[in-house]
Amino acid sequence: MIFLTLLRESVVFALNALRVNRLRTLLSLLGITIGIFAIIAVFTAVDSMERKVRASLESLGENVIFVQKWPWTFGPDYPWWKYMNRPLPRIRETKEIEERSESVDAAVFNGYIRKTIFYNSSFVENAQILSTTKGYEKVKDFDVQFGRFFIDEEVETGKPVCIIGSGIGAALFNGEDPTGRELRLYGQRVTIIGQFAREGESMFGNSLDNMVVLPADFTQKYVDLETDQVTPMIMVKGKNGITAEKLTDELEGLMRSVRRLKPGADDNFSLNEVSLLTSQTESIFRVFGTAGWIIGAFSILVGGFGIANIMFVSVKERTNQIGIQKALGARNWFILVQFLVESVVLCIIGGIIGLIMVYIGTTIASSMLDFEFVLTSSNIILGLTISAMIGIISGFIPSYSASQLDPVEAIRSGI
Amino acid sequence: MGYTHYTRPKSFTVVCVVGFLLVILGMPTVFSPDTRKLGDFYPALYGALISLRFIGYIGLWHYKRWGVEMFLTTFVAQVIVNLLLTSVNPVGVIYHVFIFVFLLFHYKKMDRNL
Repeated sequence: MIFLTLLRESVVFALNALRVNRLRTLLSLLGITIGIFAIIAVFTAVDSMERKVRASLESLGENVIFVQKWPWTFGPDYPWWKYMNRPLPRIRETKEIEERSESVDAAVFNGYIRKTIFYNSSFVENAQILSTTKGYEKVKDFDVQFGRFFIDEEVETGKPVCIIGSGIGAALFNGEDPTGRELRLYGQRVTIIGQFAREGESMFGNSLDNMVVLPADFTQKYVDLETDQVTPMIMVKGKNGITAEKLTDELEGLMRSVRRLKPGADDNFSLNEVSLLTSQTESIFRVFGTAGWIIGAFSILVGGFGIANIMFVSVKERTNQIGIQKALGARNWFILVQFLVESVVLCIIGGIIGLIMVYIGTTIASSMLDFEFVLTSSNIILGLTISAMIGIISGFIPSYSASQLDPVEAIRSGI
Repeated sequence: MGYTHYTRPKSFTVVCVVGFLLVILGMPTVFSPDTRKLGDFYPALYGALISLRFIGYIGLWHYKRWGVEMFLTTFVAQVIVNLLLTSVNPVGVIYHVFIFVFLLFHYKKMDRNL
């Protein structure tokens, strides 16, 4: 009970100090405020970007291996000249993988082209056309807003049907249900059978929002899908319970067999998986985090000295009061805790102001940049922890010196 | 009322200076990316331990018994937390045990007041 009374008194003292010497206290708090703002703003930005990258990576597909000509990651001794001469993935190879593998749930060939699409007098320039084979719905997660996805027969026979992204739907049909309408592509009429639900921007440009998905057997009548210009790839998803490692091992052997590579010959394909990118992005964000940490550490250090200074001034100003408190029976620890709580409360106020600044900053940035910055609860806890820690560390020495004052000398100092 | 004057041995000064330096160097690790990865509440816990350790060293600087008690409390708490997170640093543990044994030799001679 006495502790609660003490705590309340100390908080009142701290708020009084803030009220009585408003300018002086606010200037001293500025260090902590700027420090917390710097650290938490950087952490918030890094966390938000990391979350966005992770979401984009997950949208590439979980437990999916990408068979491609080029690897996604490379070191300093990157032998690009070797990769240049590699053959491209083929539709025939996709079928062989699916037929011969025991671990594969679905193997899908994808090719990307940019093309202008027309609907009556409206058109969308440079729309991304994705040509795909049977099983795309197994390797990629998506929702269909209007209509439906392909049935196997449509894909296998190369019917002139397509599914459009929400961005294309908004541009050509003002967001209305487009099913049954016909687009003009390669001089052909292509019936829209569905529209994907909105996915949002992806950092890797693989969002379905601005895509038109067509059966590869239809597209390849007009375009060669096995050239570098269409970035051909085979997406392979493993069966349930098959690990990415096992799938990669099997695919490596299978692709070598399909391409008839001799023992000892280098692979002429790359097996890319999302985890490769995840580990790379993690190291990049670690650098950003460390930079923010160093900048913030210096700001906090300066802020800590400011708080220590104001606490020494506070003790000096109230020496007489401390003497009277001690003369009336106040114990050393009572005086110590009183000043320590005051210091912590001041720092937490500084920290809260810093966090409010971060919150305002993230709200403004989110509305201006079409990118969601989120001030997470873990960052709020971190900001308050740092504030309290600085309050304790920088306030302890002044508080301890106050608690050790001789009551007689302390009362005399005020006369 | 008689006052006993306690003088801090030079070895204590060395321990305290090294301790203060370690605490100051340890402060930025509270909000380092590695610490944050251990869990949402770990920075808060680690920050509290660092602050208490700093206070403990001030106690040792003033040759107070509560400094030794604070040192022991923070050390044990740190070891428990690290064990739970399976991130124990054996060098750190040996160093702190060594310092604690050293402090125990002086404990009885130290000031028992705040």
